[in-house]
Amino acid sequence: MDDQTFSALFEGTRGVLLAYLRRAGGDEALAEDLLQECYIRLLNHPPRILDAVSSAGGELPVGPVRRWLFTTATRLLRDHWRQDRWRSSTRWEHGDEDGDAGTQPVAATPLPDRTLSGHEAVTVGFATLSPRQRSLLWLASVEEFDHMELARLFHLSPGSVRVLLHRARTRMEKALRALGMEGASW
Amino acid sequence: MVDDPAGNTELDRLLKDWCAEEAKRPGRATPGLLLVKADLARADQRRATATRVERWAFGLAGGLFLAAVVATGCPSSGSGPALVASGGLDLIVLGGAGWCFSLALRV
Repeated sequence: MDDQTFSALFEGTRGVLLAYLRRAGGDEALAEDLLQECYIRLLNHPPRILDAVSSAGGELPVGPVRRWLFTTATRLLRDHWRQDRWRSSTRWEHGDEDGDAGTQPVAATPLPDRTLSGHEAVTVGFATLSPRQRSLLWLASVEEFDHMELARLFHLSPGSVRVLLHRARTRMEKALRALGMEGASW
Repeated sequence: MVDDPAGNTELDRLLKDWCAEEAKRPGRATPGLLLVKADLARADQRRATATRVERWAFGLAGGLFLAAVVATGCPSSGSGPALVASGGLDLIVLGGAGWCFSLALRV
């Protein structure tokens, strides 16, 4: 991959990937490190979809590369949480994420007293989820990964993905309601 | 939301809007920095592979050399002189040369 192709791919994907790593990982420095690792892997072990670009000079496959980057980022995040499990009080999967979301407390994170903007409320609500739920919800809702892709990525059955996503959504909606946001469909 | 009939479209839309806002925040990484880091990572990888190969060569040559020395140093069993006669000396020379070569590589 030449420098120009890389720069174009980087500019087309950097913002969303960094946002995902920041919010799913919950750590600014970690997000920057993992972002760099993702692009270094893209440069040193490029996916096959980029072969056509280098050989035939075709159009840049930003969409498939974006998917590849999110898959790589999720694997790096999962590895980080698993390696760090003994040092961190937070787990990749919270103990209560598999429970009944309806009977669980909305968040361990204290909610602010003042009124939040919509953007702030989503940020706070999203932070109440476990890292795995954050990844799942982001990939399903924003990146539109289907259940089969998520099942492969998270080493789960499609049925488990469906259940985990449902619980993540329920928890998120409950947090948003607690923060004063009302939606037509939740 | 693909393949999720229970998916909450309003929540998905809210998350997409939120993500679009979040994506506007700047970061530290630049393409130039990443290209340099990728080059360094490739160089590290090459060095690690070379070290692995070199260790194998060193071990193999050393083992061959020692085996040949032990075999030729057992005249009481009768196998030593026979081995020397049947090319054991070549083994010693070859193993010794390999070992020296491996040592040279390590310097």
